[in-house]
Amino acid sequence: MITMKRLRIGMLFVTGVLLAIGVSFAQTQSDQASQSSSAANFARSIADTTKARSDTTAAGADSLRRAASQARRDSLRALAEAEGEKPWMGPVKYKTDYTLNRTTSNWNQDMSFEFSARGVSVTTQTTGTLYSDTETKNDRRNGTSTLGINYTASRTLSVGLDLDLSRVNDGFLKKQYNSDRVSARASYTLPESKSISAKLTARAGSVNDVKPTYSGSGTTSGLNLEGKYSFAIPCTLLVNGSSEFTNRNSRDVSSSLRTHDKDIKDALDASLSFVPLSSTTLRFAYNNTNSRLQYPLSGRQETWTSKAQNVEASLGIKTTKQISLMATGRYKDTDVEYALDKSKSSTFLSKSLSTQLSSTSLLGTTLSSNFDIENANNVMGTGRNGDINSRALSGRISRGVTPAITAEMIGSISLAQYFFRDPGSLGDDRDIYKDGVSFSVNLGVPGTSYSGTASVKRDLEKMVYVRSMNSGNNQTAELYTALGSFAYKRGNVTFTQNASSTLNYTLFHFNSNQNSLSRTTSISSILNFPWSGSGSFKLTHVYRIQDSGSYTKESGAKEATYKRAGGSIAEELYLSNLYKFSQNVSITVGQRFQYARNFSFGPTGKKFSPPRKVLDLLEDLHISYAFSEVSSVDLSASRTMSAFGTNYWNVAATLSKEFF
Amino acid sequence: MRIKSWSTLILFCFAMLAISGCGLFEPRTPEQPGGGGTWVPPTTPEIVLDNLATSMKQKVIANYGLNFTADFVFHPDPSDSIQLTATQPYTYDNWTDSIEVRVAQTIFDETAAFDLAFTKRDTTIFVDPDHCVFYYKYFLQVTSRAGGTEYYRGLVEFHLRREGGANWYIYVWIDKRDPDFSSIKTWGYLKGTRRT
Repeated sequence: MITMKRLRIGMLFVTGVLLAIGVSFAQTQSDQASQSSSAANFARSIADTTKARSDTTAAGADSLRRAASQARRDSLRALAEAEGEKPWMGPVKYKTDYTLNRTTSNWNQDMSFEFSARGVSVTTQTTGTLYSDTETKNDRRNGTSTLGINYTASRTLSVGLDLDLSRVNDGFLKKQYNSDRVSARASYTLPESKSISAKLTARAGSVNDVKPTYSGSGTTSGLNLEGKYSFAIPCTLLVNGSSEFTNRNSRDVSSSLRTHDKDIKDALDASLSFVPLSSTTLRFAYNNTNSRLQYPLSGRQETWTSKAQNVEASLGIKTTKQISLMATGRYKDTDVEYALDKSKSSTFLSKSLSTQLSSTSLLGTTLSSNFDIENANNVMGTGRNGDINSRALSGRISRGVTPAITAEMIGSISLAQYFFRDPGSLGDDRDIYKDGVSFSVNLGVPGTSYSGTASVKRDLEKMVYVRSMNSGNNQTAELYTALGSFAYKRGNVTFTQNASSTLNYTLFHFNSNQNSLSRTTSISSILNFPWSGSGSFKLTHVYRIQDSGSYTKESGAKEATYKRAGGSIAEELYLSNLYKFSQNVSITVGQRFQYARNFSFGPTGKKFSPPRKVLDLLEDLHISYAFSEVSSVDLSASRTMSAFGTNYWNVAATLSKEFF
Repeated sequence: MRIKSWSTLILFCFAMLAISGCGLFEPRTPEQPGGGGTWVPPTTPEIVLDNLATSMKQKVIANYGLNFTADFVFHPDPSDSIQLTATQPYTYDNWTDSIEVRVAQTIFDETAAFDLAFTKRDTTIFVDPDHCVFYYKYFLQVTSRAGGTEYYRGLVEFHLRREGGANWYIYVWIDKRDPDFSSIKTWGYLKGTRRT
């Protein structure tokens, strides 16, 4: 039984340590921040889009991290809110891993802790990363800390505090960035009822960002409502509405422009599901989002507005013969507008229909098919205006011929058509047609020594430019593939052989003299031979031959003939010996020999280029050890020594431990 | 019962064939090629690079494709390969002339204007009268249709071959990062990100 005193001491200690580590971890280099190098200045001078893109990427990473920490808090909150919850404290988990791979090294640390008692739940996590690349002279240090505290006052009311701190040190740019969020929230849940449930959450807090392109601080607030209503008939209505508002004073790094930024987002999701019969489902969904964002851009204040509406209706029918049909219609309308840089504005309108038909047991056969058709129109601020019409049909039939043999056939066909209306894009009008069919047979009975697979496949793709400007490039690519694999097992010895052969034709519609063919054949064999309880030997051999050529018509000849232009032969032999000293310690010593040679066909016949031969000696040591149920270490080190004197190490180490 | 099941199976197959064969998947009939852009017969290797730059500025994909041999291969900078293949495995594998043209088309679609400049960085080596190697620095400016401009810098090694004793074509394209601009993305990186 955990006493409250112990819980409090543990919570305070761990929370303090984690926050201190998280914030200070990335600050090691902050004293070194000085004037940016010329490379940094040049990098910053690159166009707004590059900066915006890097911001977007960083925002994506931010949101991903925040989503993970939010999910973590939510799960704990659910735990704390559960009726009859007893005091509970999770162990303090610590994990560190280090990897060294030629020029890059990475060191990660992660520490987390969870606690719940008397309606109060706390979760905190701290991560830190040191990344270094000696080739690009890139050095980064990241540190993040999250803390969530939740108090469930009653069955209907709960309040909480969330803290997200993040630090990034870019050693290359000699800059430090941070992104901090602090917010308080309160939730009210409607008393339980059979027909209706609803939850209202209000949130308010502060933000502080120092990013490569801007710095700013301000306040945030948000309101979220989740509701569900069940009618007397089998019909359910789900509604989710949210509204967020961020108010921030910013400064643009490149122009020193000070702006008053506002970020307003509201969204409404509603869906109605109706089940009139046990075999039939009807669903109607509506989604609407509106966003408006003001931010600094190259010495000016840009306003971005986005409006999107999605409507979806679907019908699903299931028969007693396990045949099911699902048809879905979708309508999407998105308008994006930039007040200053209107070239970035766009409108997108799409209507689509999708149907799926499947059966899991029709005369012992599994069938499935999809048919999709879509019409989309896109008008961009640059003036580009076009339609994309696409349709696709695919099907799959699978059947067990005998208990040991299964046959499968897959087919697909699709067409995408691009229509452009603006004069500058007319030459881009084109159709892309694709079809493919494959047939495969699997052979194998559990408990027998043999198993195998054989398949043949044909893929065709036509690129058809409609306008004369580009139609000379119209071509059809035909790809034929045959694959076979065979495996034999006797005792602990296994032997596997794979073979594949491909023919790749490129046929020009208006210029058959450019037609070409490339062929590739590959055979690989793998023998695994355990020579004792601790040791095993593995032999891998791969042989690949590839050639290519073109079809040319001699003067006076009626038909074009194929002439090989060149190709390559490559072979690899890899022998390795694995020895396990114990369950946790093993060593592998291997030798790899690679041989490659190119050849070409000229007026004087076949010519071989000098062969390329590589001989490597590979050593790998792997140690894993579990000290106890809660502590373990995993270490692996490998060294590659090449006959040409190129030696390098790969090292990885991981330590996990739980305290308390 | 069994007859009914067979009927369903046959109906399923028949419906698939009917949909695929009803002309719904028939591409449009193209116009005869001709006109559009400037393309000078590449009787010297230098003309190939002029044609390459012109086809990009004019955004004529057909002329762009005429600069390469049927056995063309592209080699990216190893750092780009390591960086991109971490998230897009096999990005640079088996990069043939048809892949090159397809990727260029994707880039053309997104681009409002190109500015491409080559600067010689080493003497052109003539391996024999029908083979030569160009060593250039390049600066590529891409103005996107969606707005904004991106810059790419790097070193390029073009291996050119004369075919049939007449015209020159590129058969190997080796892209490298420029040590003077190590933080600037290469053309090869742009191409890698646009291969789908």
